[in-house]
Amino acid sequence: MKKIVVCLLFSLVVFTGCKNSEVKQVNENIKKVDKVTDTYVFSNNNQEIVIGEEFSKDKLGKEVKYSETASCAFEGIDKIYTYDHFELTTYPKDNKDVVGNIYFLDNTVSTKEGVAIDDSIDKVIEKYGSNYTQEGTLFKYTKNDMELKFIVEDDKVTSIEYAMIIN
Amino acid sequence: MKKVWIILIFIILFIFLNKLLAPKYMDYLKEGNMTYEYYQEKTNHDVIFIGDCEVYANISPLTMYEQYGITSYVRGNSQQLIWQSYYLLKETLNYETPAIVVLNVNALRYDKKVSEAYNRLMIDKMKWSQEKIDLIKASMLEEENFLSYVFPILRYHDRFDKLKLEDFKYLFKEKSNTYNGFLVNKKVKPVKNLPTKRKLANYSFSDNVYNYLDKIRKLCAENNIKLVLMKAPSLYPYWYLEYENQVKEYAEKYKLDYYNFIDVSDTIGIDYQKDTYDGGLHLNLNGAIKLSNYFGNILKNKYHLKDYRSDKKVNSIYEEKLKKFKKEVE
Amino acid sequence: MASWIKNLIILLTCVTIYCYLNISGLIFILTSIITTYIISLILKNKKSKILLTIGILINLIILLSFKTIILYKSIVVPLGISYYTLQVIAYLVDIYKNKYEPCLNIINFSLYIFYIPCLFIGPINRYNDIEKELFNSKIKINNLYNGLCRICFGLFKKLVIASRISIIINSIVQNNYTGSYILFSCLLYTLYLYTDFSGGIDIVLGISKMLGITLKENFDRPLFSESIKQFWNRWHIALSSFLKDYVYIPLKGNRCSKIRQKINILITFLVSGLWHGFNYLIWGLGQGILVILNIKTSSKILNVILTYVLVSLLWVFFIYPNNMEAIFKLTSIFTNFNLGSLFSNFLNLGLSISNYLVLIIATITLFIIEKKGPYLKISNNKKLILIGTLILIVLVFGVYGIGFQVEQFVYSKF
Repeated sequence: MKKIVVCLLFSLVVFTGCKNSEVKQVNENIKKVDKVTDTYVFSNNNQEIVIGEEFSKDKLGKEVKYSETASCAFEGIDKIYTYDHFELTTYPKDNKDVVGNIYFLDNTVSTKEGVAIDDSIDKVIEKYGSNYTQEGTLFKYTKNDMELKFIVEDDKVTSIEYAMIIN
Repeated sequence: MKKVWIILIFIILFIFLNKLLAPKYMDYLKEGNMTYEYYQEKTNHDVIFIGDCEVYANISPLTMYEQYGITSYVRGNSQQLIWQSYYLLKETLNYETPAIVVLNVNALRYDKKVSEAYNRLMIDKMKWSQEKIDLIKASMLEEENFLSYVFPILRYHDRFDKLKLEDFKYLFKEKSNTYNGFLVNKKVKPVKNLPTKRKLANYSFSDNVYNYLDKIRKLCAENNIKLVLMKAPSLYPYWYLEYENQVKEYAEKYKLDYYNFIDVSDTIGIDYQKDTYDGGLHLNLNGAIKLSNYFGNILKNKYHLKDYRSDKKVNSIYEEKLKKFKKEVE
Repeated sequence: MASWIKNLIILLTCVTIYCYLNISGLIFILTSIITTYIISLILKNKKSKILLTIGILINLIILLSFKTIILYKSIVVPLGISYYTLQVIAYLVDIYKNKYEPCLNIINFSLYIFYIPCLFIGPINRYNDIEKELFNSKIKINNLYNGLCRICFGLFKKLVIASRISIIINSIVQNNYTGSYILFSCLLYTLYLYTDFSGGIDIVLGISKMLGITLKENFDRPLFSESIKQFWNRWHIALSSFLKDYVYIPLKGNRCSKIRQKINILITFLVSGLWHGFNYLIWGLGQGILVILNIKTSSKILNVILTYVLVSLLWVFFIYPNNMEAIFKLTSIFTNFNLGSLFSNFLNLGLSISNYLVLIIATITLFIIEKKGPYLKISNNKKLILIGTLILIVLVFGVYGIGFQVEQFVYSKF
């Protein structure tokens, strides 16, 4: 009898094998560490720019134009660096400037996966798959805290932007 | 009996802690005190301006009074969204019924709730009313909690080690930072570069925005208030042509007057090298005075507003205000 | 008020809360209640091993089917599922062994299973322990004060101490620190787990006390134990004594050879590890070995510290549920200590200096108050003052709200 009880107890615990919230939390944290590698990365002259990471200016050389905008009431400014073919905005976060978005200015730059302005929507879907959300002309691919956004008009890409999701 | 006393003392302590820990918005983040300052007004106003920072930074009611005898008040807050404007206007109508309400259209482009911080600036010091309850419900982000608007301690308890001198200084007293809702900013930051004008996926105002715009229009109609639309002068964020057309269309449809001051910046005399404090987003004091002169003139002539400078009672109050304003301006 | 009406009210309240939280779990529990109730009545007269096995199996099968569904569909696990299952199995076994009479009143029996405060985080109640308290409780003014005091104290432990510590631990895990950081987080984890878990239990006991139900204590100041063995006698007493009665003693406990006895201890701790989850086997084994080794010095204070440190080190398996990672982190304490880094980085672990101060003062206060026993012997007026003070302290110094998301009770998912 006792053995049955012990056996049953054993099987019970094996099958229940539940996780506690702490475990979940820690696992989530580990996921967070993976996150960095798991986003759409913009690459220019072999320099990788990751949305949400601190911006180091020397990576991209001298900008063509620099401007900044402030938000109402709160301190900290968004900094906008315009380069020849794209524009990059940083947001203030924990006393650092992190890359908030990258916006393509013409069709001479392409995403790391090879999509540029004027490409067809078929090419976008070929490169990025069909797991997008569409809002009118906007096609969004979301990965973790960032989105890769294509505006598509007449089946042609007319705008490309990497953007941080702000909450 | 003793127990009643003990409970009473703890309730008082609780109220005190709520007051102590809540931000005072006096020397820092003055924008948070704007909703509250309106309640201290002693006279009614013929014109109420509502909108976001584009009204409180750009419209100076005291300049309009000095020049044209118009009594007006700016009920604007940072990032005030259209539904927030609606409830704030509704609240205003509990106190007075102006002849004209001027709505700044900049916020029409925003359909999403932005941030808890802006909600706090606008709502924290608002007096309790049905409108405040509706406003909170309409503004709250998912992670926010209604109760924390009732008991600020639930939101601000982590300020226990961040209390500043002003938290004690203004525990039981208030001061006003604005001039009829106008926040003076004397800094000069000339416009140098502007970011690229980006393509948007969607230029149409959302249904939700139109819904609240309709509500504002109807509310004004019900109360015999003339609704006027305006767009303050600014170079950035870009006011797209598509936006402009939608506002024009709406104004035409409902026979509203609409003034876009971006187009007439030169006529007004705005110099973006001198008249802006943040490189073209908002006007500074100089710019605001120019705009207020210009707009005041339109309001005065077109809508035949009363000149209160001949009204002794009102004039004496405004003389006081002007004296203080002049002192700050110089 | 007739006691059955009161019991029915409590039962209905519990069921309502349960439905509100998790409606799907209700069907599961109801089926289980009815079958267990019927089987226990038959078992009373007819000691059938087969019937007992069937009873246990039915509960296991329902549990398993639930677990399988969860794998495919994302439904919420019925709250406190493991606690509840242990309780039901123990009940059937005890009835079979004639330890006590089965409960004839279906309302009372349902209440025993459904009693919400316990359903969340335990303690695991044995039927004969709780029977009289649960069914014949009366509401008294003194109990209201005592219960309320206990609840506030539980909130104090959870929100002021535990939640604060969890910020540090999370930061250490998130930044993938090693060496002295791991030792630091392990040492803190013991205090964290204690304040979080016992704080939750305090709330359960407090609510029960207010209803006039005195439940068994689950902790007896375990952080001041002088040996590992003592620690396990004073920590999560409900689980420990459950394991003792249903695993250790059936294995002939210590009434056998020395070696066999040691093996029994090991098995018991392995089961305990398994109960927490598959990947806690090594943790269970470690605790078992520590109990058997029974390291001791001659100094009392040194023993307390030694016990605390040894217990703490093994929590590394809780902080890092991946066993390999845990072992790697644990070894890094000995290979790459780097205390300097910890010191210079102290204020970058999520807490400001004033928050550390709050943590230290709160912990000292906790130890002083707990030394006086679970319920303070002071006048009701003084208790009222204590309640008010605790509420204000929790409101101001608690870690909750936007920016801090309050932790779930660590033990509620077991």
